[in-house]
Amino acid sequence: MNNNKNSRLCHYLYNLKFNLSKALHVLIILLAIGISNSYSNPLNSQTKIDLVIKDASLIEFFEEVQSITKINFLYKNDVLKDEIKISVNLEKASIEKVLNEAFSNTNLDYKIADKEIIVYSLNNRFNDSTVLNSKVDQEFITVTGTVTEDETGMPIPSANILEKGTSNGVMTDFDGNYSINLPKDAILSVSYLGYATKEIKVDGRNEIDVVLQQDAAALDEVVVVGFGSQKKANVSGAVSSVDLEDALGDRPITNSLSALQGTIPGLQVTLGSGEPGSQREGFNIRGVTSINGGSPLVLVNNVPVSIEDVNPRDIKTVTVLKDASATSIYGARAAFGVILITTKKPEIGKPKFSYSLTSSVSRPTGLPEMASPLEFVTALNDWGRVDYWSLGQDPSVWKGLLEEYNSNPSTYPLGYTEVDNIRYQLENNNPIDDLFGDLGFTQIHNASMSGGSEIANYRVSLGYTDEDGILVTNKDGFKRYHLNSLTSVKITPKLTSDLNVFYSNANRSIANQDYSRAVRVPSFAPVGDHDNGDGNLIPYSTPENLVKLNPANSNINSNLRLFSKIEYNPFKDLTLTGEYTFETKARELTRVNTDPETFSPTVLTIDSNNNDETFYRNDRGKSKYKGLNLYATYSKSLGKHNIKLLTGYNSETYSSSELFASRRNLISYGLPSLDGATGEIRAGDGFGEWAVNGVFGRINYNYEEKYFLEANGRYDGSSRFAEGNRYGFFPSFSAAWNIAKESFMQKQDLFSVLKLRGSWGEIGNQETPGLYPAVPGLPLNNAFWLTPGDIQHVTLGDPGLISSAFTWETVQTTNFGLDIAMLNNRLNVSAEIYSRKTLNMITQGEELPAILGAPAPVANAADLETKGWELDFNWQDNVGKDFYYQIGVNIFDSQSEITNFGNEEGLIDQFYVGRKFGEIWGYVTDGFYTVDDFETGTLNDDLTGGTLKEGIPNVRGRNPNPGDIKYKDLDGDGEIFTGNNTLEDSGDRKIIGNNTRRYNYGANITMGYKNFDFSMFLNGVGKRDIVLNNDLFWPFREKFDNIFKHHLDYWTPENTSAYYPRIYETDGSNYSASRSTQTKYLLDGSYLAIKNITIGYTFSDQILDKLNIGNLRVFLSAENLLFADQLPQGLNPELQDRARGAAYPFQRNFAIGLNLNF
Amino acid sequence: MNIKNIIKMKNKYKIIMLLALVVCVSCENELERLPKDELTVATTFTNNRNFQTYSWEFYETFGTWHTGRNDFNEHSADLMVDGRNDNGDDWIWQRITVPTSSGLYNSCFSRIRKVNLMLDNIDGSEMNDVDRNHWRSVGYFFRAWEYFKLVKAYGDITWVETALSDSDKEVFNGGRTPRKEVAQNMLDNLMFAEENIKENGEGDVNPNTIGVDEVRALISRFGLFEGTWRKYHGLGDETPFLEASADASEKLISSYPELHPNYEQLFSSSDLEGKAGIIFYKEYGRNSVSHSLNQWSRSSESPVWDFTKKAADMFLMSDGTPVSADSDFVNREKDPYSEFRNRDHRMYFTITPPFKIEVLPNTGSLEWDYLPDARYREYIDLLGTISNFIDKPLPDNNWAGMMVPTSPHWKGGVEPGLPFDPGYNTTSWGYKQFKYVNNNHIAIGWVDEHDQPIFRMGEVLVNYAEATFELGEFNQSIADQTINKLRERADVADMTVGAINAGFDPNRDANVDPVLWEIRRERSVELMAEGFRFDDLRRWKKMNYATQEKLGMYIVASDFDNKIPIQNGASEGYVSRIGKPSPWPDHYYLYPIPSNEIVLTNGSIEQNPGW
Repeated sequence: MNNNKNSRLCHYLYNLKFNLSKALHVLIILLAIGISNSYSNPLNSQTKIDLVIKDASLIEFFEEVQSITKINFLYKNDVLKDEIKISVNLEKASIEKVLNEAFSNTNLDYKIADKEIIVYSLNNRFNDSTVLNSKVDQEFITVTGTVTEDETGMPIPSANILEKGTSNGVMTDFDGNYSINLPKDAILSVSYLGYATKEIKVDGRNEIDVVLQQDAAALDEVVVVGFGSQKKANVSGAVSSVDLEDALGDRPITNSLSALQGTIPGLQVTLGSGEPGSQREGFNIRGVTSINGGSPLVLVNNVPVSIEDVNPRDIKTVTVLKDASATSIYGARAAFGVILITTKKPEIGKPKFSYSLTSSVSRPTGLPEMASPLEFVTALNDWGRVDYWSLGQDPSVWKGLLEEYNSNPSTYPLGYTEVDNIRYQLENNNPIDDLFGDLGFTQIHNASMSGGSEIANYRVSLGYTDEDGILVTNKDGFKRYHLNSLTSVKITPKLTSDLNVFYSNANRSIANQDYSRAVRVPSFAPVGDHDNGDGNLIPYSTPENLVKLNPANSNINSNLRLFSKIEYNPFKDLTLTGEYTFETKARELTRVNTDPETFSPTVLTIDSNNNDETFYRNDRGKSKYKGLNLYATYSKSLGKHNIKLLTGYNSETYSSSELFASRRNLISYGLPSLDGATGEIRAGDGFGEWAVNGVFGRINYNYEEKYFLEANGRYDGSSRFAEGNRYGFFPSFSAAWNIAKESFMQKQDLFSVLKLRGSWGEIGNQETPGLYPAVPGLPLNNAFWLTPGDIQHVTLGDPGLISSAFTWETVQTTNFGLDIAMLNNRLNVSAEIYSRKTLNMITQGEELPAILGAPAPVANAADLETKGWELDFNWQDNVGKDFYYQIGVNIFDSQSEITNFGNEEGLIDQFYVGRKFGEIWGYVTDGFYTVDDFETGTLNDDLTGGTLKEGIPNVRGRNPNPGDIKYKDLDGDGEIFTGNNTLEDSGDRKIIGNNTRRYNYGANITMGYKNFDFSMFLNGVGKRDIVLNNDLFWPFREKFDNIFKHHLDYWTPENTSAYYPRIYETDGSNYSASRSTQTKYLLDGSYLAIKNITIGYTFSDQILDKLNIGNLRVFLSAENLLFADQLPQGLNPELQDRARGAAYPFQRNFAIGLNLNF
Repeated sequence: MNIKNIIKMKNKYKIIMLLALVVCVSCENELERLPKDELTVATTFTNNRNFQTYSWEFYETFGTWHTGRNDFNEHSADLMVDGRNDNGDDWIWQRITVPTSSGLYNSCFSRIRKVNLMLDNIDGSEMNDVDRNHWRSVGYFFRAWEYFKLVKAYGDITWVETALSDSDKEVFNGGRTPRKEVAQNMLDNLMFAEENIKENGEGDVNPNTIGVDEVRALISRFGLFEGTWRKYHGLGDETPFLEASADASEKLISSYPELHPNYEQLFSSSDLEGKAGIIFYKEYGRNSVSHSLNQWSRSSESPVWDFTKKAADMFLMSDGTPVSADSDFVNREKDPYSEFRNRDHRMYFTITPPFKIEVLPNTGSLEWDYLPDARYREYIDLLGTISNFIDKPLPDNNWAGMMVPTSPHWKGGVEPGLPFDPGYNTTSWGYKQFKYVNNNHIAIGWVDEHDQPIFRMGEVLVNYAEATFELGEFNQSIADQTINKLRERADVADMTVGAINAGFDPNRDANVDPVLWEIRRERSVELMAEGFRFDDLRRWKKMNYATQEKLGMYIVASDFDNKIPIQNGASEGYVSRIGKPSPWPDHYYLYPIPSNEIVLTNGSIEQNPGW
């Protein structure tokens, strides 16, 4: 045994009673979790042992003796050459006796030197004698000491202590202590993963303490790749990883996707809403995937999960596999990249407890600012309105009253008055601010416990999140519990078993209120309750009251996942792994409408209250997932050739079912339930299933870690395809060249890594329209027909036509990359450039005549291509002993284009060849029509009804007036028109912009000075065009709409350089013509967000030691601190446009918290 | 090897065996997944019950009332106009272009496929001959229903009587089937259905399903259409179709001797089940299958249903004479209150009658009162006596119950003396549609639930009158069985066939027989706004009626700040917003075949001439 595993094995079996059966051992190990091991007695050669072996190899013999006696064997490889067989059958014999018997018929001899036995071949005796003699004759001493970490001074358990050039070695115990016997002039080599190895001359000393320094390059050394890990320097595909502990820091956020936004080049995360527990997040790797959709595969421990189920604080690292060469090993669902999440692993040693708390308050980042009543009414007047719709108010009368009221509110102490029996509201309220009237509160608690020995170890973590959003009441809330437990047991030295139990339960409370109503309630609308005069108070139906009065809907998701893994090393270099996952998810959505009695603040009547509309509805769904992975890895180094082989089998099945029931007419609003309602019960259900399986393999080869080659292949099947087209084979290849390792680069020390990479690969995308695209079924539906008594019958839909030929979409990636590490690894740069072709996308293939009566069967008939690049910089350095800093910046971009699609007519509202994703067709604005555009004298007094001068175009069917938008007549036919909507005749429209997010970037800066640390995180989008067609952007699209401050710059004869066009007294067609998609109102969707700033303080050990606390840090953190964009207040380019433009705003949080370890 | 090693080895084997077992179990048929909430063709077409289940989907062809409204094509004829479309109707203004594809073409063939799939599988079922023939008849009814739409639009059309597959290239490239052949197939199928369908359809269990009466009602409608089309477009062979129509109508008349006593309730009642004169209807319910015709028909959003002056003038005076016969009418029509007086009651249920009220302030326009001047309440009071006031109230209100202050409620012109002018329920031509306005809806979600007549005796009677006239059989006795029953309900004096001479209606189209002219009038009045007029004008080859200048109510321009345009720019006269289109081109009588169909059949389907 010529490696130091040997000594580890000894330690680990040392505590076992060797006459107990293995099974009992395991039991003891399990019971003994957390009880620390004690270590090493010097060899007592008088120890008596029992040994029965037959025909064992020399290695087996050594192992057996070692396992009993903890004696190390030293030998040269040539002693193994003869492949001798050893048989021993002795009881209570001394070591010498055992050895004599063992070597009796061999050419071997031995020497005992304290804790070691040197075995040598008599054939080579003369050759080896010098070495042996010198060694054996040396003076041995015992060296003891402690290994600690440079930065924290914490002891390092399980560090390797080795006599250099030998296999003589030990490991440190839980307190970092070691003791080793070795020649007095030997060299100690001390190593630990992630730290720079240290070599120290013993020089006869008996006590040597060692301090290890973190090795920056070594930290990044290993990255997780599909079904394994690899040295980062050896990776040849496009892979990025982030240490989420760093990226997340202490941000007061609860969802993993938010934490990943901006951290990894090529991973685009959009959040879409600030609502607690919102599920509007979207993410993709490298942009547009397929016209049929497809998103990255998210894996925890090789198990696909929903990323929202992962507790961000359980995550250790996140690795993103981007090109086919990196992902193809995962097959079926990995076509558009893989996000590999590695959770925190057990830490070996005494039980360690840690607890962190983040507590924050939040306010909205930006609410639209409403026009005051006077501004509102002035605008109505300017637009020529003679009455307001709700009560028939006369805006000119109203304006006078408001001016009076504003100068002296005491004139109308009620806040309103009546003229000609019509009520005029005068008070200035703010229904939107009232709606978002609460401070949001968020608490995030996380506790974990970890420890154990090399044999059995564990980590258990508990997380609890409680968010209450910024709407009045606590009805917009999100609560989640996470339990994650990982136990790892070495059943035998060669067999390891891991068990992971994961449970989460999330309860989202959704305020039963349509935010889009809030943007419609004007500032003069009364708030609070309406007093009928008879003492009866009825709440106004203001957004605030509606949230308060309506019960919240609840959405509960729970998730239980069991993961077990068995790893078996039958011999060195070969690992067999089996992984099995069972996951069950359940969700329950409850909706209640009690239709409370309210009073309309605009028309001042009781809102319709129809008991028939009250209802209770409950939706339940559950799903089951089973996954099995079996794989083997083998690695071998032969001289300068390093080879690694992987082969495996994967199988996954999924099934889901849903059930809902609802009933109208609640009896009691307090107890909404099916039984508590009197209407007809309506119920329904649904089912879904899929399965995939495949075999896969990978070959890695490198020469001197200088030239790298990798090949992957996967043969994959999916239930979505018909037998015969079910399986596909998808290969990928990559290569890399680390120039820094070339001999001509050895003289420089600027670069430590200078690696060029290239890859090409194919992978299948199984995303199809529907789960059973190959089965011509007749789906069960409700018929749109009643028979008397309102009986609705179940009927059957059409069996679609199925083409026998369609199969996998193919995603083909070509990737080139460059990795640089330079200036002592202080600067790291990675760059990627790629092309991803999504080929044979499934869509309606050959078009067939309509007399067929059914859509033509789908076929693999469309292609698209995405091209992009990614850049990642990282700089880290220390200034002196006390100050360190790190800056990371990444930026990436991609664009996609249709390269094949059957649209011969060139219809521009469909895909066509050459169509770039996100492109926006619109008119080119040529300013407003002016009085000069009309024949003199033809305009009426109110600047309408004029005749355009010759050559000035009008929108087809519209008679423009000054103040309306004038468009450029691109086709020169004198008229503005859409044409026939084809590429050949697009009328006066052209491509005016693109709403793809371009130049996504993220940056983080961290620094520390003594006990203080600071971090800042930014992200943004560099270029994007957006078109907003909603009530928040456009003033007064119809008479029920509200007016906001930013709407007030509208065209009037006096304000001809306004932003907004002329608005009319009625919702006239001229105004809608002015609102066509056009260059003037193409908005800049770029932004820069300062997502987070955190300042922390770590207490020094002197204080903590007295309190028996390992580590204590407190921090202040601000989330969503600043959002710099080009849109009017209340509109955010990253918020998804809901009806009327109202979206739940992002929240700005201010948090304090602490991290505690003991 | 000692015991320990053996145990070790055994464990190894156990683990390997275990893993192997797991693999084997999981391999088995793993990728064969079938949907759990779907049937297959083999499991569907087995017994009577399954056929019934499958057949419910056929009924979806009757559409939803409000979406059906867009198919009514009423704005393409002469009696109605879209009040918000100042560019005029595309058919009338000759803006129809050859489309690449057509919803009508596609949806008809999609439903034909559905029917054919059932027909293909009847022989393989477990049913007895009675049931087999019943389901064959049901299939024939629905297939004929679809082909009726296709023939009306396109004339020659490919006849498909089996469910095609994507490899049936010879059918795709087989070209169009001549109209006469298609119509004959349809008639033969319907005759088979009349013989073989169960009399009440699924009536024992599920009333209001396709039975013998529904088959006859379709023959009545289709026979008249095809017969008169052939006659007026000179195709010949019209008699069998006219006779089939007349025969079917006659049988229905003896089965349904009574009319629904209240015309207005045909379009405004929440339940038509078992009502006299209703052959077949579509039932709506609040929480399942609802429509929004009511909401749409009040709306001021495009399309707005306005009637033309011509439509208003169609309604006879109570004494049975046309307005054109009264020389004083040119004065009376200047005021809507006198224009509407003593008219066919159907006018009051079809066009919103004039009124004016006081909408009370601070009630959100929900409450109102009479104005002191009694003239403004004349028709409010009249409707109170002749209609079901709860279903169909006058004064009118919008969807939310907010009162309309006046009728006619002009768009874009403020009525003098009104406190304010809400934008809802407006008219651009003066005659606002009232036929479908009622209170059978809830004020949110645009949910209407009043039932929709599909076949009713009102139509059968005018079909019968017209078919017998075209067959030369119309006489006073038939008039009494048909038109006079309708007039009695509408409080109009009886038609006396002998009294109708060339001078009866001075405005008559001189090319139409005076009696036929009155039969056609009765048809247009009885079926106004129900979607028949465009097809009627086309089969009569009278689309020149639709290309006359469309006129609205008589007004004085200065009453509305000169904002409402009048014919020839006069200071008073009939509202005219669009002008006069060019004459109707002959090739417009048939629709253009979608160009995709020509391309995709390699030209074997040819375009209709002129397109």
